[in-house]
Amino acid sequence: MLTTTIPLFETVNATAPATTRDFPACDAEFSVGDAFDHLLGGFDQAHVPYMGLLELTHKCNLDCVMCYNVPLAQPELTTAEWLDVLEQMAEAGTLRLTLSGGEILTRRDFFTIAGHARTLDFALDLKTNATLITPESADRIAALQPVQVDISLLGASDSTFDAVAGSKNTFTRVLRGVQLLQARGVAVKLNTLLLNLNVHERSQMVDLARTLGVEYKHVVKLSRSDDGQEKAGNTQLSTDAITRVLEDNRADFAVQAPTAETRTCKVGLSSFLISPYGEIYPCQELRISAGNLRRQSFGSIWRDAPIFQELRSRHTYANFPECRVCPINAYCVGRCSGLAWKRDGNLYGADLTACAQAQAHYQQRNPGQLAPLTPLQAKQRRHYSANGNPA
Amino acid sequence: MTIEMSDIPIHHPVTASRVFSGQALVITPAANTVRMFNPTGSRIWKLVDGRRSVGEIIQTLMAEYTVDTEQATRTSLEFFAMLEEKQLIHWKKAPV
Ligand code: SF4
Ligand code: SF4
Repeated sequence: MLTTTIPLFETVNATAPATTRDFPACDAEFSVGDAFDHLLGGFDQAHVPYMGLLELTHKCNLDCVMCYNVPLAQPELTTAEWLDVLEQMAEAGTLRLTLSGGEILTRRDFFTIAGHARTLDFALDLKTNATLITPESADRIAALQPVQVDISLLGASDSTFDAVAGSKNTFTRVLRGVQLLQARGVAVKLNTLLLNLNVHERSQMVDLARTLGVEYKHVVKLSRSDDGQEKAGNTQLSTDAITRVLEDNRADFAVQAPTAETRTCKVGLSSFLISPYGEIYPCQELRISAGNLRRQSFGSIWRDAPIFQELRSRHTYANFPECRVCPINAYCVGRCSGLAWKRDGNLYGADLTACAQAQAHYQQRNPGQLAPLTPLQAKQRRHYSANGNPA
Repeated sequence: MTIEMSDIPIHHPVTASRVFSGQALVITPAANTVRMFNPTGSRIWKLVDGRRSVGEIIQTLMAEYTVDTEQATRTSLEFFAMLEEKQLIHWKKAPV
């Protein structure tokens, strides 16, 4: 029994934190700024599965060059199975869900699943390519009261957008979808994955977002496909191009040497991903299965899966041999274990995209000085000089 | 509106919420706002389940806390009024 007298009721208001990178767990910040941050930090420590990314389908009406989804010859979870999974997650304490695809609106039961999630008191973020949004579906999206709808902006003209998305009139259709949502008061965020196919329209995309009055972010990270294939490798920006983007951005970053306990992201602590086939993964890049919901309960997978236990106990610099001795690790902010793992199966290895970004950061802070090679880059260079460069 | 003891509070459909180790976290997604309540407010939020009336919630609090009827009633009604004003709950009127 509680023995306190009833104190005055107080509320603490906090603005929901914007995710600074794609997936909730990608941000390694553990700042405890207010009571809300404190609570979030507590979820990480207590391993509360607070946030989930649900890939409702891998079907999509577009064919983007950099898409990492590989549809499998297996049935996707049915409506009834998704509803059951939602109940299990609510029971386990999940509050924030990102509903993603493929393209979410290709699922006929999308609004049944999303509506049930809202009746179970989940807060929803939606990811869509926006090309299938009609006035009717925009009304239904608005009725879900999402925190935000994330939409990919892959160019500022039909020709550029179409070249990336493999479809026709994509820019026009996306813009229409954005405007339909905005007209209904839905918060929209535009995201651009910068590739050598669209980087020349970067400033027009920034201007467009400003004109529309929506939040905008661009990233240079490029995923390999879920099966490890480097489908979009030759569209990835070069180190020089990344450097130019970072220089133009003048985005602030802290130069801070990591300690043995530093994590590069929060993967496995309080977030997870569920694939259309019921497989649970730590995140969108790290496709090491923790278990399948057709065979086990959500709670037991979250609690006991070896991959989650390993990430919780070992995912620190002490166990990253290349990164620990890297001469520019203080400039590295984007190391992704998932990308390292997709490259050669080593969860604890370095990540070449992050290496290029760290070099760009180094050069931004030390103008005129050439950034040192990272251990992985040096190893690759030695390999290529002995065996010839595959390019 | 005047709150009756037989009124049944319901979480407002614009909210999303969970109670973690006794701490309520209430999000108003479309406004991108997060609210947290102190332990007693969190307990009341959890008792708001669409079935219990205001009177039943107050009775439960009195059984759990060292508090007299007058104070439990006054502070609970203040809290419900605040929740209603901030659009975090709405009401189901008990059948007459
Ligand atoms: S492994 Fe990569 S994709 Fe996964 S949470 Fe970490 S940074 Fe993000
Ligand atoms: S720059 Fe590369 S090697 Fe260095 S810490 Fe980052 S990922 Fe590791």
